[in-house]
Amino acid sequence: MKIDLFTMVDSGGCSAKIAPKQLEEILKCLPLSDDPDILVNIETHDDAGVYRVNDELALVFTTDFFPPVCSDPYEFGQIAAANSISDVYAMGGKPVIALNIMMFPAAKLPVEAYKEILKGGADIASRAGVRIIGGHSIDDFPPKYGLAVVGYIHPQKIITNAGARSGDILILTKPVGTGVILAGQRLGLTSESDVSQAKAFMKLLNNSGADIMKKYGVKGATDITGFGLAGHALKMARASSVSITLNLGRLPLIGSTYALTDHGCIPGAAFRNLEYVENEAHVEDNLDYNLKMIAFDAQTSGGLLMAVSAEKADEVISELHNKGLDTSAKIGFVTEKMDRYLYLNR
Amino acid sequence: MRIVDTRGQQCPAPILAAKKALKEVTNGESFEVLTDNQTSFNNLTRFLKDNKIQFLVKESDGILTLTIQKEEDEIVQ
Repeated sequence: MKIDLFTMVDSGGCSAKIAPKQLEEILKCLPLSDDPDILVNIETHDDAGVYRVNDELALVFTTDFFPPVCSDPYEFGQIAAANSISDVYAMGGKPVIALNIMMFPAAKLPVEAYKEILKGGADIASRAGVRIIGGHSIDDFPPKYGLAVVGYIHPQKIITNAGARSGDILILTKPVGTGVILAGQRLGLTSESDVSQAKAFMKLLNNSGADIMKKYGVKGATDITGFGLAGHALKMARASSVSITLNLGRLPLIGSTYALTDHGCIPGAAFRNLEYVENEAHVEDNLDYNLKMIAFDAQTSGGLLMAVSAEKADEVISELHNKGLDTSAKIGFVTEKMDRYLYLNR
Repeated sequence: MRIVDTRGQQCPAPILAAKKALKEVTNGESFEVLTDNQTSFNNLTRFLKDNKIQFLVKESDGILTLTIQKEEDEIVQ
């Protein structure tokens, strides 16, 4: 039997996240601990929590899991694992150990699919130098998979979404459009090449980008996932108490993302993200509507958005290109806090 | 009047269908988009408002109907 996970779900990957506006309300009920060893908590909506063990070592701790973004179980495992591990890279950490988190409909799918998902996850984890040392599974439909990951970091060298400073240039390491491409695929509107491109980017670890951030002393970064480029940029601007301008005309896009959006292929998650961001964003008059909506497109296993000091930006770009991240681009800049946190320009 | 029936469909299919119709109808012509999905309705209306496209809404038996008129000088993006 040919297993096709993609047709089992209406929205997979990070598009399946709870709406950010709703989630923010829910999280307000959580008490914040005043333990001084908690270096990063949910207050700044960062990619992962960070806990200081001693003066030399802190743990970066994160989890992500989601429903399928593709048909093949092995590839789904790869993408889910790359996405889970990315949060550690976004904080400048070295991922070390992980647990599998699996929800699997044992009566509906052959156990082979389960094994393939785990194999895909294990292969990507191994590429990242991560040891999977356990996990947990629940019988559930549709399937969902991801990892809880622990990484090491020096407590003085944490890269957070609160570290963007006025004058910094924003660099994005992967092109945008996974949400649009996957929605288009569901409707039979995408080419095989678009889908392969999107899958290749989703499987790509953010390790090279993280190494370059560390080399150049970058202090502010986040990875782009379910809240879209604009949603994560807003979180960064708020956490850093700055304003961010995104130049959407410079945004690298996957395959026919623009053409699909122009046909009206705008996934529901983009509207949820728009609703979350719009009160704190200014949209330039006459900004291309398609580009605007692409900025809200939910990404699965997206790239790193890093705030790099202006004098190092060109060098960082050329290093990223040399590492094979050849669509990395300068897509915006950071200023002192202005009237709005986020400015969406051409 | 042309009727674009998107009942049973989820986003982005209704927006694709509405946009296709907007491009195909002649300027000044009206058409109806039917949906039974509240989220699709919300996204459709948001799309139309953002693109400054005029529409009217009526609801009957859980079916939401948007009557959309293409302006005389409308350029659909």
